[in-house]
Amino acid sequence: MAVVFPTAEWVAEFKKQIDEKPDYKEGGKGWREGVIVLIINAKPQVGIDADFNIYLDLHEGQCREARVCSDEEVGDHPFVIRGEYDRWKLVVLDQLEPVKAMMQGKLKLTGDLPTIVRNIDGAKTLVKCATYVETVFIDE
Amino acid sequence: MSSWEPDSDFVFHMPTKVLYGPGSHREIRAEMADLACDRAVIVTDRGLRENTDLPARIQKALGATCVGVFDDVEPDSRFEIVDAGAAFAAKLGADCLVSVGGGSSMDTTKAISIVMTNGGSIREHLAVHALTGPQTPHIAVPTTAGTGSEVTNVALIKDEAARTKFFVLDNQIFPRTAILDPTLTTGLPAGLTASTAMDAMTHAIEAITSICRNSMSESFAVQAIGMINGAIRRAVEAPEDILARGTLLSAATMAGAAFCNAMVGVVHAVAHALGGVCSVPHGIANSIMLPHAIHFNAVTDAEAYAPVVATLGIKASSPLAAAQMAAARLTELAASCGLQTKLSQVGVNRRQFQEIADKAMADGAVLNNCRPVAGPEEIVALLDAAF
Ligand SMILES: [Fe+2]
Repeated sequence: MAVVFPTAEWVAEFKKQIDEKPDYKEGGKGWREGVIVLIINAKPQVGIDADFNIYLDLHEGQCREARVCSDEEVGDHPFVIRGEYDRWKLVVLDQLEPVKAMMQGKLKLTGDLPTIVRNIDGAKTLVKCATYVETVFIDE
Repeated sequence: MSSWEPDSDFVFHMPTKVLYGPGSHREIRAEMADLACDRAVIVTDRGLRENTDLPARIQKALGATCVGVFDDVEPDSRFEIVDAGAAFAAKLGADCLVSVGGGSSMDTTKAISIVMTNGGSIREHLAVHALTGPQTPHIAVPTTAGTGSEVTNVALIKDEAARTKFFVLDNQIFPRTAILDPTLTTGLPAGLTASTAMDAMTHAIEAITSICRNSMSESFAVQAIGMINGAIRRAVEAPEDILARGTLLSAATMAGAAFCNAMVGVVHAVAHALGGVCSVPHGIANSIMLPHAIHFNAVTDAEAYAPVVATLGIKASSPLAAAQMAAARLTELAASCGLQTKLSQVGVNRRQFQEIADKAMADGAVLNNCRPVAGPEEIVALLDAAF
C-alpha cells in the first residue's frame, strides 16, 4: 500500500524496509554512533506546516527505532541532517546522493562529516531502502 | 579536450569578489567601506609580522580603520587560537576581519568570523552548510600563491589532542573580498613559492579528475595548470618578477575556485593525513603524492587526465601513456624547483603508514577520487610507491 511522504506512516514503512531487506544490514554494519535526525524543513505551500523530524536510531546495520520526533528532541543529537522538502524528495527517489548533497550545501549537516564519509555505504543503503517504500509525495 | 560529463549535475558557487593588481592592497579601505565596515582586525601570524613588512603594509593601508592585529595564527591553527582570536576581535568591537598570510591565516579567520557571529567556541560549529546567515565580513589578502583559500568555503582547523584536522564547510564562510596583490608575494622564499604553487597545481588537477568535475571548474583549472606550469620556475629563480608572481597568484585563486566546486581527491586525503600525523607541509605532501596518484587513477580512468595532458603539451600513444608522462613531467617540475619528491626525504616513517592510511580513508576528499579507493591497503601501497 502506498504511503505519503513525509508522514509517520511513511517512516514506519521505511523502518520495515530497513528491517526486511538485506541492503542496510550490510551497508550500515560499521555505524555505531546511534541516532541520526533527518529534518525536512517546513513548507506550508505543500502541506508541511512544521519541520518534519525523523528520528532514526541505527546501530551496526540495524534500525533500533524510527519515528517522528519533536523539535525539542532534535537538539540533543550529534548527527542532524536538514534540508528542503524538494531536496529530500530527490533523495527518496534516489536522484540526489545525500553525501554529495551535503558537500554541495544542498543538505545541511550538524555533526562530523568524516564519520558520515566513513559510513557512506550506510547512507547509500538507507536511500536504497527508502526507494523500496511505495511512496506518494505530499505535493503530488 | 574535456573530461567532464554533461549528464552529471553540478553546483558552481563563487561569491567572492576578486580584486587583482600590483599595489591593489592600497584599495583595501575602500573595499571595506563597500562592505559597510569601518573597524578591522588583521589576522596573521607572528613570523610574518616579525620577518616581513606585509601585515604592516596592510595596517598602513587600513589606517585608523585598523583597530587591532591578532598575530597568534599557527600553521594549521588550533581550536584555542580561533576562540582567542574571536574574543580579541569582539573586545575591540571589530566589524570586519582582514586575513594576511597563507591558508592558515585565511582558514583561522573564517573560523573566527563564525565564532564572532554565533558565539560559543569553534568546537560547537564543526558542521557542514549549517550556518544560517552571513558571518562577520572577511577580506582575504593572500601572501602566498597556493591554497586558494581566499575563494573557498572551507576552513581546516586542527585538534591538537586528536592529531586530526577538522573542517567547517559552509557557503557562508567564503571571504567577501579577495585582494590579490603580487607585490605582497615577491618576498616568499623559493621553497615556499614552489610548494604552494604545487598545492595549487594539485587543486587544479584533482578538480579536473574528481567525480564532481564540471565544465566551469575545468575551465578555471585548465587555465591554472597552464599558468602555473609556465610561471613556477621563473618565480623560483627570479623572485621579484611581478609577471611570474602575478601569474601564480591569480592561477592559485582560479585553482581554488575550481576545487571548491569540484572537490579534491586522494592526493589531498593523503596530504591531510601526512600533515596530521607527520607534520609534512601541505604543498610538499601534495607535490610528492600527486604523480603517484596519477599512476593509481590512470589505471581505471586515464581519460580523466585528457585536459591536463593537453595543457602540458604531452602527446602519447594512449591516454594511459599520456597520463603517465604527465606524472613524470610533474615530478621533474617539482624537482627542478628544488622540492623533495619522496616521503623518505620529509621525515615520514614507514611505521606511520597505517595511521596515515586510516586517516586518509576517513577524509571526505577520498570519496571524490575518480578511481574508488577500495581500502587503506591501497593508500599504503601509494605511500610505499612515494617513499
Ligand atoms: Fe591543498
